[in-house]
Amino acid sequence: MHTDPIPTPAAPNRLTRFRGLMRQLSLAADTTRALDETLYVSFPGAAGAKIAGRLELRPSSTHLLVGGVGSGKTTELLEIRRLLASSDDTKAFYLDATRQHDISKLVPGAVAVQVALEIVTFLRALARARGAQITAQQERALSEVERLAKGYWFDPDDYDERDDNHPLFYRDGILVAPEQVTGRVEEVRDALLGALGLAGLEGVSYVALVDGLDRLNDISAFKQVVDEDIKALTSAGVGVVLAGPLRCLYRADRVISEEFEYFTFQPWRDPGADAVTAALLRDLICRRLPADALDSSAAEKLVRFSGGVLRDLIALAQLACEEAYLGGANTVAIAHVDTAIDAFGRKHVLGLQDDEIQILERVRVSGSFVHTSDKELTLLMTRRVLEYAEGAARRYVVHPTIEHLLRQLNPEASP
Amino acid sequence: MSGLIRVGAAEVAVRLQALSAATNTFVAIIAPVLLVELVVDEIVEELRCRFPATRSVPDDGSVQPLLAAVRDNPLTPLVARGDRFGAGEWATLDRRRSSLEREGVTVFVATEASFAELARSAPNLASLFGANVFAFDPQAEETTAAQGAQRLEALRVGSGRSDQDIIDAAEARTLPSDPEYGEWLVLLGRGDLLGGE
Repeated sequence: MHTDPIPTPAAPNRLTRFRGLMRQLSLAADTTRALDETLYVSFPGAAGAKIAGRLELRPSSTHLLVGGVGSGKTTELLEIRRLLASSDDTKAFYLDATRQHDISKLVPGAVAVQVALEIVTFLRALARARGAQITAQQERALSEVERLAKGYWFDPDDYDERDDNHPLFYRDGILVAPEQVTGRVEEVRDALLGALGLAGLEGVSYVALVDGLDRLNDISAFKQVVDEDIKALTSAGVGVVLAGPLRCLYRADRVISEEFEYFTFQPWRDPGADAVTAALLRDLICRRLPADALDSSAAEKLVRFSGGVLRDLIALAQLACEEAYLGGANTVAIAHVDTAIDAFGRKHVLGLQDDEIQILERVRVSGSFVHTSDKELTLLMTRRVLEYAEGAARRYVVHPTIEHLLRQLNPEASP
Repeated sequence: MSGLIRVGAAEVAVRLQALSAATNTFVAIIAPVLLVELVVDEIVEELRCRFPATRSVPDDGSVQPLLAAVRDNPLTPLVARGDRFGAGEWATLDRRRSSLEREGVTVFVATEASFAELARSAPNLASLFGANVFAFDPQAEETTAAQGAQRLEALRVGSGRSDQDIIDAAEARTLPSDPEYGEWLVLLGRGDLLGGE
């Protein structure tokens, strides 16, 4: 038995090492932190760089960004913020519109007032940083936005401060009890204009990067945001980049995209399309798992079976890494990737109904896919079917992790 | 069941230990309808050996207890029942996905049917589970025990110390706080000697 003190391990042990690798394999961008440039990979025609360039030229322009789940929309919004951060005359804010408001209760103003709150918070912080005194007039202008957002007490008749018995009424804020409130987006715009006019920052443009509304199932609610809030913000001179639901791409809902000056589709990246795309996807994963942690053939396989869905690529790598850890290995090898692919695919087919399997089988065998009903749209939303952009044309495949499972279900079909 | 990777409570804990540094991590454990409550208890008990603050989310069939637990426990592993959630509850969680994102790991114990509904009604949230969807199998513990024995041997050889050295040092509070030693104690069934999370 040893009696001398037990030392701290000289080198990081396996668990510490694997935890470090897992930290790099988080599945959702951490929006509270700056985008980690060492992990970001810019694909040719990347939405972030394209939109940021347009905003530099036209800061008050409007943009709709649409893409499938896990295609990297949030990451591109954060990239726009990073790219615009060095600009002297444009200030970009990222905000997730679902954090302060239940988007199942969207009312006119619910998004605009959140953007206005961000700008007011910035203006207050700026005044503090400059040591500037906020005058009573300025304070009223800034507070108006906060009052609209969060609610306030008021007197329907002129309030007399000396009359303690005079009844006061509470007016709900836009972000509270929204079902009782209508038509207040114009008030938000006027309040915002008042706050901006007093800021003494002539020449500065504001850009709101609005995330979260891509999760809206109710397309009429999304249209209301576009018709009311986005118009109000642009009329106040604020540029907007809005992440929208995937269904804006299809059928009658396409008309929504025409209300924006620019429309950007963030596609999944077909790893088989060209060597550049495959290399960039490989780069994305190798930035998270260095060469001593990931076998190169395992990296190739991860890329191929991710279908170019960035979140799925990281998810597959995460499970492969877990398997390597549990199996006592120090490097993620093909066998670990195979286990991850099979597990992902089996999870992906869980609960599929017979008619959905038929559609998937048709896509697998012939690439034929027509999204005429919500059923097809759901298969796209859940990434069982992947859509790739080839110029103006679209190509459809089933997610590579479920191909072999579909083949097992229908062994007589070709190929 | 479905060909998913089969795990016991101990393996869930080992996987979560490796995953614990990743942010916004969601794990689903698929269990038979009648065993969901039991599986929640087993997983919570096992996780507490490694993460003493692990909490089980109260279940009233609504999403409110989960949202409250997430808000109040940004770092703590949470184990929630998802078997009673239907399309409406999952859709609510999908819209409020951002409110669920945090540093701590969230484990859902669900049935195959409730997970299928999650995939259909909450595609954004479902994508955050990645491939971390497992089938619960109490017999899988035997494999885990064999892996544990292997790992213990590696720790002994790597450090030149015996199990008793580690227990003595932990009892004397002279054991360094490195995860390697924490793992060693847990594998010996002496998670009670861990100082904290």
